[in-house]
Amino acid sequence: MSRQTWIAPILLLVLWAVISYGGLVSEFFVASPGATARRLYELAMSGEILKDLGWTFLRVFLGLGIGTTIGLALGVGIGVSPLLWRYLEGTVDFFRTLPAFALFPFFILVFGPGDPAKIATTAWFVTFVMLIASAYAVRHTSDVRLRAARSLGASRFQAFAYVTLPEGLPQLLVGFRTCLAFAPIVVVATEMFSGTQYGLGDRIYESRLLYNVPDMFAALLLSGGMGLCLNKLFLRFLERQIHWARQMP
Amino acid sequence: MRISWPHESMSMQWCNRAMFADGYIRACDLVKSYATSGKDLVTVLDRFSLSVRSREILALHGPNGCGKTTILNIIAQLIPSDGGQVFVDGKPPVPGDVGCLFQDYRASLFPWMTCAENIAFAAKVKGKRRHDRLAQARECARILELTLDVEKYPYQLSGGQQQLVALARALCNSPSALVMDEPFSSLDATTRDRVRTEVLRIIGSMGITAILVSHNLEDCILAADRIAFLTPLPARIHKIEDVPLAPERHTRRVHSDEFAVVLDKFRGIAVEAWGS
Repeated sequence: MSRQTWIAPILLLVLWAVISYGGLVSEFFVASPGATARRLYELAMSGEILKDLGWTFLRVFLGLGIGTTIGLALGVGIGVSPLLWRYLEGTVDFFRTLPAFALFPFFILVFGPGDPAKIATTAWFVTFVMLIASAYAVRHTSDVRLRAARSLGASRFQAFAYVTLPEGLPQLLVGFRTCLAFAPIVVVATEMFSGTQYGLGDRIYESRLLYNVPDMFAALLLSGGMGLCLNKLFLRFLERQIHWARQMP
Repeated sequence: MRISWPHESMSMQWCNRAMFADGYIRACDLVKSYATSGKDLVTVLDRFSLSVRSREILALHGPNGCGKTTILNIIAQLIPSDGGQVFVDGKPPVPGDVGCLFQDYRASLFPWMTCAENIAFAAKVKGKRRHDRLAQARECARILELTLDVEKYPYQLSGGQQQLVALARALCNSPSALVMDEPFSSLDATTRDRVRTEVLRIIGSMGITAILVSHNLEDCILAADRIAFLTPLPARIHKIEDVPLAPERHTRRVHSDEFAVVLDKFRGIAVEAWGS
């Protein structure tokens, strides 16, 4: 990360300190940076918040894993078959625009109020993002590249495996990056509903009920941090894997 | 869709007769039409025949959209024809037998592979182990005297070098013949001369039979032994001319008086072909 990246967070921290220590807003609403840091330290030491973080992360991981698998399989199938695409395009669009959260009550009905409903909601969201991304990824292979592969003796399957898939990879990974950004949002939101014992969303919601503002701020910082780390790690991976994509269309 | 041609068997006989006897690449009575946006069919090839002698470079010269690319695609077995037959070295070719060089080198190379991996693609398709095929690709680049670093990715090379990698990739597969579709058209003027010289040097050293498609007459005269002038759709050969200049091919000759005379004459024939 460049040096400039740090300017905005530091300014925000200063602003936060000025607001809370300057008494502009009551500590009842905005916990001070010091109080938040102390609480974060206590929670980390007792291991409590790590449990929350771990459970949230596990749900994100499972939701991403299941959603990506189903989305990829369906998307590649729809992408390679123009016929299937024509039959399913409208249906896919309908389900894609259906907000994932709107299905949460339905998943609770089906799976009960525990983890499966939360994971299913996340997986639902991920599935459709990955479905669209992979369908487009395999549909728009360069015709010249496919012909080049065929002229070098590649069978249809080999052309698909060696040309269509790698060429579609950047598009796929862009889709996955969207999922990586939104899956934690879906998980944290669903954790605020009943039936959760551990999870960052649960902690945020509980702390509001108990007016435990430092707790809430600690959990907020961690959820943001988790998203940021996932995204940055993935970007690092992306730059290594598809360094060629920006140079050659 | 295959349109059955009533005289197919008869024309096949003709195809095997005297005029085609010396043909290393023979295309006989090719038929191809495409559906346009409406329900109309555009006939691109209507009983198109062509014969290329062994180790010669034949240029196809014609206006844009006259079906030149279609002819190459059918000969290389990249698209099916609606009728007619192709023989390369006496046999109907299968995909992979005829090497292809495309106009758009950026869109034809595999940018996620290094140049060596690109050159080794045909070996990968044949299931050769990675270590072996990369060694073979490096050897191939050495034999062709490519002066570029094959461990680089295509985007790290100039356009001209990329086109040479594409040529090496096609030749490394030891194809029976080579077809080139406007291979110099995407290059800028200065690179173009250098790449053309290089390509001709390499093809000459391999002694491979090749078809060059180009709408640039200078390219055709410099590269080819014979030039076939094509008419507008459906493509037909208006005339085939021998290129009278010595077979030593070099860009320098573009500026000779001899070259200017030949160019003038061929321009006349081209105009005649397009008008018919």
